[in-house]
Formats: sequence, structure tokens, C-alpha cells
Amino acid sequence: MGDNEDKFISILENHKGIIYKITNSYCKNKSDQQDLMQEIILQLWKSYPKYDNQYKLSTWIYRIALNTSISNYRKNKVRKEKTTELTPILTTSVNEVSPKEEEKYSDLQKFIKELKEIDKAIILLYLEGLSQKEISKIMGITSSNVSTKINRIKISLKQKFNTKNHSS
Amino acid sequence: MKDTELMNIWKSYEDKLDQVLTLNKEIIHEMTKEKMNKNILRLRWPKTATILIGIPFTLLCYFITFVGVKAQAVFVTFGFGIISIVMSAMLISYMYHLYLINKISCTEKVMDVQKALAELKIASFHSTRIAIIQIPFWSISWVSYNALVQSPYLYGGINLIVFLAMSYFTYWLYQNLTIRNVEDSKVSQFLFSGPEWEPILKASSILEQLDGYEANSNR
Repeated sequence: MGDNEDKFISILENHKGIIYKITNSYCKNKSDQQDLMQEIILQLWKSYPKYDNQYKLSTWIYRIALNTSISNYRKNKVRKEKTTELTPILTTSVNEVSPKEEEKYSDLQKFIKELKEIDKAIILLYLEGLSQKEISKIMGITSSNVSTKINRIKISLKQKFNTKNHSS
Repeated sequence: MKDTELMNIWKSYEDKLDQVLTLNKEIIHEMTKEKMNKNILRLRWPKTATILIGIPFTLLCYFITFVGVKAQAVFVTFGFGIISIVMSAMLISYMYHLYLINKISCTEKVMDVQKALAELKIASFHSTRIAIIQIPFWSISWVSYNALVQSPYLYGGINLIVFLAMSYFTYWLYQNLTIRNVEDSKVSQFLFSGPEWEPILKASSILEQLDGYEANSNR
């Protein structure tokens, strides 16, 4: 295995959570998620020689992962019929989370999946703890625009949680 | 629900997630050897295929036009001349699209990349609308001048009706094949169900979202 490959794999190892969470939010099922992960990793590998040190590695990964996910125009119906199980690139079994936490998280994921593609990207970056300035750099919109959008999306997510709590 | 609560839900899962995520290094190693990029390939192949089929077809149209000129066959020259011009315009636009695809880099800002991708897909849609313009000219390409002189009313009348009917059909198709109609119209769904056309609706929706963001920042 070459030096470049070693470095690349170690970068992926350190940032695997980003890829997992983004693909999880943009895909409806596991096989789509595995396929999207594969596309993101291929894009990362292709862009890796041109990686510019002036950007943080995470900024570079977020941009590629979000661009690939948003433009991932796949035909879900056909895919479900034709797909064969892919060997997982990333595997997980989160059993240590309490059922209540698990339920809240899956509700949050469900509500995020219902958002429009660009809104979804912004709220993911916000939840990941990135500053407005960093989000603005990744997305290419002004910080004030980021702030306005985040507030609107948060209100919408909170309303969905409240509606769910009232109905249950 | 407090502001921080959303982040806490996310973080509670994230902490556990980082511990249990396992990266399959063998697969990554295999993938780094892959030369092809599926995502870009999906955009590129329908255009490349159209260009590869379109070039010999357009050359053939030009050849028939040339033969028509030599034989002084007015209708053949006119019909195939127009078809050749429309086909050339389509080919040039498809080549330009390929050039744009090669320029798009996923490492750039999300909004810029998504705008370029969405505009590219919508440009493909407009290329198809240009292609439709050639339909009525197929009907006059076969008209014989001698037959027209001999039977101006019957032969000429039938051909005129066919030409007018095809012109009206083309006009109707051109008017109805708009991005807004792709979702509702059965004709659009029938014509635009190929691999190149699946992304059109999503591209249109992404552009609308981006416009929303631009409008927001201009306020």
C-alpha cells in the first residue's frame, strides 16, 4: 500500500463520522447509504491530490460529501429492485444508547430527512458544531444568511418535535 | 424545547457513534484503485453517447443536403439543410455541456457546485427542446418538385397538410415541454424518463432552493 493511500485511509479513519452522518441524512435505506458512501470516498480520493492545505481537512470533506450527496440523483425505485447487498464500507452497531435517547435521535434524523437538500446541509453543519463562519465558507453564502436559515430550520424542527409530543 | 436540546440529541448519539464506527480498510484500498468516477460518469455518458451517434448522423444530413444542392432538389436541400443546422446546434451545446462537466469540482463551495450542476441539467432539457424544432422539416425533405408540378392540388395539398400538422404538433410539444410540466404531463414523463432526464426535476428544485437563498441574502 502506498504512502498516499495510507494517509488517505487515516484521514478517512479520523473523519468517518462525518461521512456516516451525512449519508445517513440523505439516504432512505442502508444500500443507498453504502452506495453514496462509496461515491463520496471515490470523490475524496479523486480530489485528494489537489487538496489545498489552506482549508481544514474537515471543510474539504464536508464540501465533497455534501456536494456528492445533494447531487446524488438516483432512482430509488429501480435501485430497490435491482440492488444487491454491498459490502459495508462503514459498519456500526449503536446499542449503548438508551431507548429514549435513541427515539429522540431517530425522530431528529427523520425530521432532518424531510428538509430540503440545502436546508439539510446547513442544519447538519450546525448540529456538527461548526461556527456560522465555517458554515458560510463551506456553503458559499453569507454568515447572516446562515444565521437566518438556521433559526428558521430550528423553529421548524422544534415544531415537529412539539407536534409529535402532543400527539403521543 | 430549548435551543441546545437539538444539539444535545445529536451529540448524545455522535459520541457513541464515533466509538463503534468501523472503517473497512480493505474496501477503501480496493476503491482507490478504481479509475472511474461513477457520479460524474452518470452525467457524462448520455452526452458522450449522443455526440458519438450525433456526429455521423449530422454528417449524413449535411451530405444529403449537399447532394440535394447538386441535384437542384429544393425541398431536400431546404429540409435537410435545416435539420443539419439544428443537429449542429445540439451537438455544439452537448460538447459545451461536456466541457462544463469536466470543469465542475466537488471541492468548491456547495452553492456554486450545486448551481452549476443544476443549470447544466436544465441546459440539457433545453437542448432537447431545440431538437424538436427539426420535426416538421422531416416532412418536406421527401417532397418531389416534379410531383408537385404535376399534381399541385392533391400531392401539394396532402404534403401541405402533413407539414402544417407536424408544425402544429412541434409547436404544441415545444410549449408543453417545460420543466414545470415534466411532473404533470404524461407526454413529458414518456419523453423524459431516460437516464439523462431523471435529474431534471431535482435540478429544478435545487435551483429554486438556491434562488431562495440568494433572495434572502439580497434582503
